[in-house]
Amino acid sequence: MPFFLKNLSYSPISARLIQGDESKLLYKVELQDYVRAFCGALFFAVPLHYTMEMWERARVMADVDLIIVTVLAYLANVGYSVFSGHKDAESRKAPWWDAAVSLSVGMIASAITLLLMDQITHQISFEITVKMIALEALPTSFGASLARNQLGGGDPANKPHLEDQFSVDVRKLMGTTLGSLMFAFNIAPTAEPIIIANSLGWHQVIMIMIFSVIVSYAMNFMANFVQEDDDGAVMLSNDWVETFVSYAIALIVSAALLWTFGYLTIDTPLDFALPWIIVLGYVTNLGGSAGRLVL
Amino acid sequence: MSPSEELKKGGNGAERSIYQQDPPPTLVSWSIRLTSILLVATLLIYFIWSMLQPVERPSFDFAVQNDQIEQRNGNWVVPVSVTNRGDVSVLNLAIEATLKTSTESRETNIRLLGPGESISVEFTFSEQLSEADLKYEAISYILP
Repeated sequence: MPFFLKNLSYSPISARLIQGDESKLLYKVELQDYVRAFCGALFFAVPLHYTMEMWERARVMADVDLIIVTVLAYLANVGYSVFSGHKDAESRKAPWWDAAVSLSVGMIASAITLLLMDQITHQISFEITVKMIALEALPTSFGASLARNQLGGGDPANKPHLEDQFSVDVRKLMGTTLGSLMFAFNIAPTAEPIIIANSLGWHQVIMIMIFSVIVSYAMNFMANFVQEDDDGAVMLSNDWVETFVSYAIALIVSAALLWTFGYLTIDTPLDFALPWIIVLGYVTNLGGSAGRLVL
Repeated sequence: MSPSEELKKGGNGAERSIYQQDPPPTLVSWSIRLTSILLVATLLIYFIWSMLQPVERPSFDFAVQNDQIEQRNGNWVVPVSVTNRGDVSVLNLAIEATLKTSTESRETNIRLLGPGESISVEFTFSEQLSEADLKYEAISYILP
């Protein structure tokens, strides 16, 4: 049975929710969740609505590419909803549904912002308008799914969490992927990583790789931000293995982002592509390291 | 995901499926969910439909904004609205405006013009003129 048909039960509109000493109408709490998602969406992604490369990319992006990134963004939102989400109670989470809501909240928040920023006008065709909203909705939806992490609220830490169903290894891999995507999305559309990479020699590119790995190791295993829980880890039980596997993931995310924003194609010579991926990989790797801590 | 993985402890300590919410959502939440699915599905269907349409090569319309022609520093500035009638964006579009009565011409460049998009550009000439006095040509552009 498809996931969206697994449980279609509902509460009556008069249902109340006990939160601490307070009894609240459930639908009012749900509306609060959506307002939280909307605020988180804007808080995370408004800088990208001021970024010219995003407006330009929407004008040249192929329909099929937009379909692919929208589907991938939906899956990323499922992951973000598992780790964070916009609801204040773990027991009310439904990641597959919440991810769809985050995407639509992202679309609405982006449409309003682009309209206010005069990027949706009568001089722009419907096709470009839709593409611009769809592209801007990707990071905006991430903000909606991460609302609780960004702006607070939620269950006390000792309550069981949805991510507990995954093994430690899978949690670390998901944290790295989602963290790197989240952190680098604000930089990847801009031309600066390409400009920087094109000006570097190979010795500098190698230095960036080494420094990326060292910073990642320091952040996760030396700075003691949070106590690592390695119980149950199999593949990533060794600190250095975890560091290098995470760096590899960060580079893959970096390449995927460069493809999304049109910098990297199948025809890009490897001599150009590698420095670009490694320079942006510095950012994705930092995000991935933080993702393993925060998510 | 195996059935055993679908079960986890809920807020009250009881086992629950990850597909199950405690308490279940109200109709308000269900309406928002269904609207969201509809919105996302519409977007994807639009892109699929758009993908299947025949692609028209770029062609350009030029319209002089007669009421906005003005004199600046002894020259006449002619605002022209350029519209891309094709289905693909063009990069670095070079446009030339030439006076029909002489060989005097001016060139301007538009960095990016999307399908169906209009942008206003300005040409500066030394003599007063109207729409009928000018002809336009897209000299070159790059397809992305």
